[in-house]
Amino acid sequence: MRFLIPLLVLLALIALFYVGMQRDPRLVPSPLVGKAAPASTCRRSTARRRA
Amino acid sequence: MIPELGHFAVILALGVALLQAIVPLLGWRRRDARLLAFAGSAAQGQFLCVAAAYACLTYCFVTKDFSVAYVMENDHSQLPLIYRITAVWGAHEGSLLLWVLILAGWTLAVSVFNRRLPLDMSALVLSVLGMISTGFYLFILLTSSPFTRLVPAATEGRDLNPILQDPGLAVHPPMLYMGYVGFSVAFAFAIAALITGRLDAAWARWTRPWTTTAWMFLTMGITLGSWWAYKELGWGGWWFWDPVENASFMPWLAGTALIHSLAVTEKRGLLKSWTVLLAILAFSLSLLGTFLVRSGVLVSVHAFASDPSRGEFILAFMAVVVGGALTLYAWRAPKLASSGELKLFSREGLLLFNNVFLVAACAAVLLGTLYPLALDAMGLGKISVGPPYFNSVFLPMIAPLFLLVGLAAVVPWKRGDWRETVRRLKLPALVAVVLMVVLPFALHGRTTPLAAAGALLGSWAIFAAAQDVWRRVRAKPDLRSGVSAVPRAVWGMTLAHIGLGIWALGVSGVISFGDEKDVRLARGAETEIGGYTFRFVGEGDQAGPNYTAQQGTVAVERNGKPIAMLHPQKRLYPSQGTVITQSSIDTGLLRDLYVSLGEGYDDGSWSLRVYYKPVIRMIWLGGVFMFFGGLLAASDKRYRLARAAERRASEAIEAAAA
Repeated sequence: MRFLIPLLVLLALIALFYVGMQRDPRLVPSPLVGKAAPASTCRRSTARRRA
Repeated sequence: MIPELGHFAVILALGVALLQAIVPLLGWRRRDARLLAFAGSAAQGQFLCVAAAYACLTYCFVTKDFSVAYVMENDHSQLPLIYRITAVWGAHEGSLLLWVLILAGWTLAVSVFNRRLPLDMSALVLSVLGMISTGFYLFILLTSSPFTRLVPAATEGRDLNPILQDPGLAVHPPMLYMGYVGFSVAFAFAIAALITGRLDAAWARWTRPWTTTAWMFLTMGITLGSWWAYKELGWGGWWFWDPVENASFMPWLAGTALIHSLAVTEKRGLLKSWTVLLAILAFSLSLLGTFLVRSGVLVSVHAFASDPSRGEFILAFMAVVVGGALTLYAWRAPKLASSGELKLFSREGLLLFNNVFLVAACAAVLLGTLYPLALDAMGLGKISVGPPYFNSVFLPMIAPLFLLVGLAAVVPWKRGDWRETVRRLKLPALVAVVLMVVLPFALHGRTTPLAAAGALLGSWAIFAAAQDVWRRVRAKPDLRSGVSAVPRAVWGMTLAHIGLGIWALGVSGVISFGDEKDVRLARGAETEIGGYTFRFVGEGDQAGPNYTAQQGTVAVERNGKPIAMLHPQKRLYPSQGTVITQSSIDTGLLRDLYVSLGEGYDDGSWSLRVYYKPVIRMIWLGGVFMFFGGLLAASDKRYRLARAAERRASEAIEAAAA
């Protein structure tokens, strides 16, 4: 019986991925997406304001 | 003409791979040696086909054939030759072709080196590899052909993503794929063992060098990726717990566990079904990584342009390959009885603990990576799991591994002896405790709990590993004979464990004492960080082969003594209209000084980000040690000798039968 556990875990994961693919992934944030590139992005806005 | 030839070569490779998958299986059922022997020829033919296809695509890139859609999207007339060659794997379709080329290369290597194996085992391994290849060829031909023509042809390409125009791209993906794909060999050996029911010390000895080789490439791939991200992205970080980084790290953790459990299976005949499961798991996690990167199910900085049909194909492929393997496992593994008992205080017992911690760490990374997806799929909202989760869960789980590493070389198989263990480890333990106190002060002038813990665990791993080799060398009359008396496998293990210790010193040091500053500097103005003075000298224009750059000049001094001139750039690539920052780093084993250029202002001042990164090189140096450790271990002569002996034995049997 315990040798069946990995297969059951796999089936659960595949179900999860299948459901996950039907949704818009861009709404799941990654810790990096949207993070400012070094200095430039935020500085640019202040520079524009100053101009 | 050339792209069509390439496409045709992939179709041909698919045909050969199908034969390679089916014919040896028939041969095994019918006990027909000719059908079994076909597997090797098929592996070699398949490699020729893929190599031809790959050469065709490279030719299209080098000759800037913009009538091919994939070339148009990733090539440009101004792109330097070296990046036209590496741009082949710069996006989804071409990187998949690189993937199958490497898979065919591993298959070829198996067909060449496994001539010493029993014919049926070797043929079954090649058959399983043929099945995996078949799936990937279908993937290329059905959803992702890099040879599709563009009608009408374009006059100019869209260029390779400027971030990828870096020497790092030339080496990172091929190394990583060598690792990912290499675990398919261990997987194939596991399936062959399940089919034949033959899982003995000889099986483990055949599988070990393949697994170690794959692991060493994966280690190097991850290390190079970390280094590349550090210098190229300009964020100064070396690991971000991004889903795609995790996707490469999980097979590494499972593969590391597999290397250790294979040792137990070979030496003691224990943990058999567990070892087989790990071999399946390591490759399944590689496939999972492919799925996560290419399906668009998670968003990541690395993600390829995603397409739902690709995601569905890989998911179905994963279900068939991993589902098939695990079904076979559920059916056959109960018969793989382990012989003998396992005492916890023995080398095999400690290796069992090693496996428990590594697999738990792997599960924690998997959970953190998939948790946002699971919550979203159940409609419970959208969250992001970041470094705080991973650091607080992962670090405590790997800390015990360091304690185990020190014991590994000292505690013998079957039964450990406490007194002998204490006697041999007294000195390394004492050194580690002293360094825990002294090292942070010596290197950084102050200490933190994390730095002290890192110094303790790191130097414990280093000195406990070194004492074993030292003891073996000293047992010989002179240094020369001593050094050559230590088997390569022991050197390999020692180097890898020392690498782990160096890694720990680097990680704890850079987290504890690293510093960064955002500053706006006028010409001639200064800022100070980590005891170094950064003076902004000025900026000017530079022209590259396919970009123009604004280049700042920053003079670094310490106590009035010049240390380095740094030249960070902001590059404009007109082909895509993108601007990227090119950081400038003065490297050193004990500290990196890192400047990236921000924005220029009307008054001539510039915003700069400066980093002081102490001992960060040790993180990658640790990876390099592990790589060479793997290389030494995989090339140990006992694998060759044992194989030669097995071949002589089987030849003797055949001669007797004839």
